[in-house]
Amino acid sequence: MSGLAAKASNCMQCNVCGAACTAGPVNGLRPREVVQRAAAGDPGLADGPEPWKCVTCYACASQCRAGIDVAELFYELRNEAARRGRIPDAYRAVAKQVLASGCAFPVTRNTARMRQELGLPPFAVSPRGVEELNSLCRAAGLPDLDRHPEAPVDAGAPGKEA
Amino acid sequence: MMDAGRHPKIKVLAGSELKSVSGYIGNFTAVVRQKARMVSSACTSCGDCVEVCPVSVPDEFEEGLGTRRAIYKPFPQAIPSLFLIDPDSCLGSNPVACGKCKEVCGAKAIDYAMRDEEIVLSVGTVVVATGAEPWDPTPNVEYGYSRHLDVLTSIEFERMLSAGGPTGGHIQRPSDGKEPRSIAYIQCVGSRTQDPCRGMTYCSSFCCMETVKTTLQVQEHIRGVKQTVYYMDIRAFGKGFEGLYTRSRADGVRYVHSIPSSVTRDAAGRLLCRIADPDTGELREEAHDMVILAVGVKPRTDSDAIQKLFTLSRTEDGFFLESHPKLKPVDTPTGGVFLAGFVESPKDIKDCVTQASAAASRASILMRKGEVTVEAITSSIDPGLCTACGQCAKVCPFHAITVDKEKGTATVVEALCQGCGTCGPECRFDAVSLRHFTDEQFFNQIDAALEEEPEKKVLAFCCNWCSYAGADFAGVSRMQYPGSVRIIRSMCSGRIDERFVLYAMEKRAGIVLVSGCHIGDCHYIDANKSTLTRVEKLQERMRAAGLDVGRLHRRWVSAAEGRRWADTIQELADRLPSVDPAEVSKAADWARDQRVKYEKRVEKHREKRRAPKPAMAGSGAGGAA
Ligand SMILES: Cc1cc2nc3c(=O)[nH]c(=O)nc-3n(C[C@H](O)[C@H](O)[C@H](O)COP(=O)(O)OP(=O)(O)OC[C@H]3O[C@@H](n4cnc5c(N)ncnc54)[C@H](O)[C@@H]3O)c2cc1C
Ligand code: SF4
Ligand code: SF4
Repeated sequence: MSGLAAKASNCMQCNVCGAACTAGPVNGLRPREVVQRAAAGDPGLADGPEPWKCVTCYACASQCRAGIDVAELFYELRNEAARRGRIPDAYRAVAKQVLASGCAFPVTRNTARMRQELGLPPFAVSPRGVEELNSLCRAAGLPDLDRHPEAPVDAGAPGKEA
Repeated sequence: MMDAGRHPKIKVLAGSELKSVSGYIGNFTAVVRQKARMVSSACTSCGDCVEVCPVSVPDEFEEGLGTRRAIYKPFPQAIPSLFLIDPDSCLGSNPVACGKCKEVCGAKAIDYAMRDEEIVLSVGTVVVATGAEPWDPTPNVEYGYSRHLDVLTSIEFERMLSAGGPTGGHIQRPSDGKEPRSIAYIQCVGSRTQDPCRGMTYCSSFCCMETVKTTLQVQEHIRGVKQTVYYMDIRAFGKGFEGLYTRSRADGVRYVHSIPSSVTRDAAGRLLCRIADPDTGELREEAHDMVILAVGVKPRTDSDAIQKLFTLSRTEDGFFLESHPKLKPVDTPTGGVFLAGFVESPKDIKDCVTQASAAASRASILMRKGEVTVEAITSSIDPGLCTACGQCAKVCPFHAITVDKEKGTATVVEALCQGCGTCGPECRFDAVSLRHFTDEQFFNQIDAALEEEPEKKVLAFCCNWCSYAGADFAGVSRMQYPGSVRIIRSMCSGRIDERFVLYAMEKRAGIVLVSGCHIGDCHYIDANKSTLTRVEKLQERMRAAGLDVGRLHRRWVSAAEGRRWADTIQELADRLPSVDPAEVSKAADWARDQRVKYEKRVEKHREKRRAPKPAMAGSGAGGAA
């Protein structure tokens, strides 16, 4: 966390990230507050819902006066949470889907029909491709997706203020 | 300004640009180009011409909020109080084209044939006060300066507030001419950002108080007007400033600690500032009739030209560097040249005037005295050995060396020489020597330093201003570091000739260190850049000869870095035991070869020079030919 704190400590509390944030109006994300807590080295930050509320639009990062990549900070917090096994169920489901099929978005019957209509060949990631993806993820340190944390992870549902 | 214009001893050259400067303190020659006004001093300022001029162009002084004619007076208090013609917008003297002003001018002051003039001035001292440029907020696209008419810069708004301005002092929305009921100010536009497209990293320092002042003025102009200032910090650090800030808040001006992320326009034509609430973080849009961008300043785009003219240094931000931040705040490293105002750093008018007064005093002290005491330590060139190759002149940070190819020699202008000695190591013919820091002195010191157990010594060459002072600081702070170091002081690390290093190697020094000020902090502008290249070159040559470059180091240590000095010496001394005696011998042999080669070459050159000498002496030309 000290790397995060060092970056975040350049914050001048101008609050432009909060004004630029596109997630805030929907789920109450407050980027400046997160940056402030990161600067203070708050150990609980990665355990809360904040890291998962960011929609990674980078609007905050593009305007930050202090040159802090605020969106990247959210990614780092997510990584930290994942290392502690604290991955929200929705994210867990997507990760499992990717590991099983090689696709983040499933190929539904609808997409298959549309491909056919467009004259495209049927689509599926080859079993070898899926296997390679799995070994890459293991090598990169993806935690066991079936090991659930004791307390459920709050990912901050839409409309829910922090 | 009027007073300066009228003063018998002050000559104001308006519409003029400095083209070139030569010479040195007390003896500068400046060439100034004065633009043709096409209106002579016969002009009585009656203004009849303005009435008839058919041209209308945006007025620069009014920031484009008003218009002027092709014949105009730049601003009411301009000196000299004469009209002038803008040749770019004037239709021309040809009566078919126009020529109307000439027809009406009763004083017969208009002369289309007037041409730019070159004026040559002899001056003793110079004050550089060329100012800075306001930040143009067009690239800060989120604030819509180029999209919304009612988003103005603070300078434009100041013109609007001026009784002599384009609206006669009435505040009106440019889009519909109506008086605004709500005005917002966005601070730090073009300042305090890490994004170079959006501005500069530094605080421009005047804009907070300028906004505070403006809110108080506006409060008097429009009764019951709502004013909101969006800021990240309000910097009210000057005399009486906190009081003004408190008054502004007491007058009902809202200060919101939040910088808007965007300014958009709603259907009703109001400007919406999108902010996050400073307390709750909640997002909202606040509507205003006008938005004022408190722009900062950046160094002038033509700073490079001025820098070259006067051999000045710049800070990282691009402003001109003073000789010393505390003790010589208006002097420059070039003798007789001083700084005042924005050109040195962003500041308000009071600080500019203070600095200008100081610069004028510093200059007049010199002028009154009529003579200057030059450095005792200066460089000199032996005309008998110099080939006028000009290498030394290239590295001199003060341009103190003039090379006369015809006479075949270079000479040092002692009034300009500051005594860094960077020129010396550059000469291949041993023609340059520095008073009080001669080659001989260095060689003798090296001999003495390495008299006993040279392999167990770190021989350190230190510059006077930073590294030697850093070592001193370590000493007085009682920091512990090994006693195996031997220090040889020079004024500048640029004085350190590779021959000194080679000689130390020949004398079997365990490790050699060349130490100076950090790049950018050099007491002699940038002489230490020569140190850098010279040490790197020598290391390269050692590498090519198969020698251990771990025995030659270059480190920057500032006067305040006693700890760094102690750590550096500790680190190098720790390496001493692992220095291989065979390696030392090999390097010593190589260094001796290098010295012998150098000496042979110089001796041959000397012989060549000596040969025709008797004949020349007979003809009375002496060794200077
Ligand atoms: C938007 C804004 C609002 C401000 N409001 C306030 C305020 O309310 N109160 C306050 O105290 N301060 C204020 N300031 C600061 C104030 O303007 C500056 O402190 C002051 O103008 C600096 O004076 P200067 O003479 O150093 O530079 P400048 O005013 O910039 O003057 C430099 C002059 O040099 C001329 N010049 C440049 N290059 C050459 C050349 N090569 N040859 C000949 N001439 C040359 C330029 O044309 C210019 O006329 C404000 C600044 C800005 C940008
Ligand atoms: S935009 Fe940057 S400097 Fe401003 S509050 Fe957010 S993190 Fe801090
Ligand atoms: S003076 Fe105020 S507005 Fe100007 S850059 Fe500094 S903090 Fe920002």
